[in-house]
Amino acid sequence: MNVMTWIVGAVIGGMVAGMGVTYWLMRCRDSCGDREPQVNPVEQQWAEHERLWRDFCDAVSPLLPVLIAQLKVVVEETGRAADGLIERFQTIAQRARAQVEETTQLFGAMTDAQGDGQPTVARLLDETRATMEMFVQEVIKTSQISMKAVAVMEQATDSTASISQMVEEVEFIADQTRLLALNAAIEAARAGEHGRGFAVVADEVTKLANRSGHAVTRIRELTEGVRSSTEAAMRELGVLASVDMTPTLQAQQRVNGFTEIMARKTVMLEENVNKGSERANELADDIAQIVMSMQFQDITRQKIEHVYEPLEKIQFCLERFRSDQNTSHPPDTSLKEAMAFLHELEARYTMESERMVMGQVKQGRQDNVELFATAAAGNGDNITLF
Amino acid sequence: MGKTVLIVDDSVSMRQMVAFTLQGAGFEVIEAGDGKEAVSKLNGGAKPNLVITDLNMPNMDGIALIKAIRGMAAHKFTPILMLTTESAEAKKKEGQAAGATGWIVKPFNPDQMLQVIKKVLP
Repeated sequence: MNVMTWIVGAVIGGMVAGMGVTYWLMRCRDSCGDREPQVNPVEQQWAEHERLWRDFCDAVSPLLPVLIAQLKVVVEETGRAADGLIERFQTIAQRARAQVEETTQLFGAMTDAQGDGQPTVARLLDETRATMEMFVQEVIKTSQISMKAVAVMEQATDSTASISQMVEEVEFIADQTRLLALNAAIEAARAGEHGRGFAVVADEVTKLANRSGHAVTRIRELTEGVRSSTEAAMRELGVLASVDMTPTLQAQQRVNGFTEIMARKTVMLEENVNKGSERANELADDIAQIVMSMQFQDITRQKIEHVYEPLEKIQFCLERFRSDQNTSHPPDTSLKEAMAFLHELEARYTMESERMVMGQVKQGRQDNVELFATAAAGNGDNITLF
Repeated sequence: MGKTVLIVDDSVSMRQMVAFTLQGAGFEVIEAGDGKEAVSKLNGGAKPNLVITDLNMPNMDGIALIKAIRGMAAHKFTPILMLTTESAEAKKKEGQAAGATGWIVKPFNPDQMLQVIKKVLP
């Protein structure tokens, strides 16, 4: 763009200078017009210069509108392209920031208590470990209680054995008592009338002995029942007490292993999500920077405007010169205004780089003029507070 | 509700860029394509806390806009920042005399612009 600017600038300079020379030549010719025509070598040169100038004007005049139109098209097209790019970049930046927001919220729901009462992953893992530990402790406790219960049952079995021995003793006593009562009844019968009362006593003793016998039989049955039930309970409790704790402990270890892996993966996930968020933020910042870089479009637009505006004036001047060349009336105001515009072009510049280039060219330093322009463009403090 | 900034520039892309910067910092934005449109919006009831305007615009330029705004009772003290490619001291003085609060030469740096806005906002 800068090259085009300087080429056009050089063309403008050449044209303005050429127009000045021609205008001077034409005035000289007019002032000499009243004299007798003489074949003069100087006049011949003037005539040649004038002819060349007319040829140049004829060639350039139709070219200028083309150059101006092309520059305007460049401004229009870069403007449209920049607007589109900015809009798309803004959309990308907004999407990147929205993605950061969504990821942060999603992961926040998994890792942070957000005041919504929902358990986090870390809390769920802790609770799983605690629940497993409680379960294992309960199993151990149940086993210990069962072993104690077995011991108590063994004591109960021993007691029923003692009861059985005592029942046999009571049965023996009942049998002996019944035998004794029988002997007493025999002796009472032998005593006749005197033994009648004793016979009644012996009969009652026999009845008591029989009842004792019945009670003994009942006690034996009950004792047998207790012994049988106790032994059955002991067998069940024995199974419970002798349960192998190894699988339970292994299960606990496995669950603890899973929860540790889950916890580690959660930490890794958190780190990756944070990195992803950082990158998305960096992306959004980079895109914002790109959007800001698009300011070049506004700056180049103005620079190109500052090229085609004088070109339009030059075109106007050329057209007027061509149409007025065969007339004798003096130049009108519009032509003077256009010339004034070209003379005061520097004052219309808005950028330091433009003024610097103009200054360099005016001093005849046209080499490396782009370097001066570039230096000026990035120079100085760009903020002033009044 | 965030503070409102009126952006006046004939370049759509510049308005977009300034709006992008300001909206990202939580400002509400009103846009106008030249001084005339800006005055019309202010007369229509827009109440910006800050005006950022370009200098060279069709219909009404930045200096004329500043003078018009300073003539409105409601905006006599509203901060006005010029955002322009113009960097000549004479123009800056002209802007200052018209009532501009500050002058930023394009291209602008978003962070710098936000810092300046923070300084000049009441």
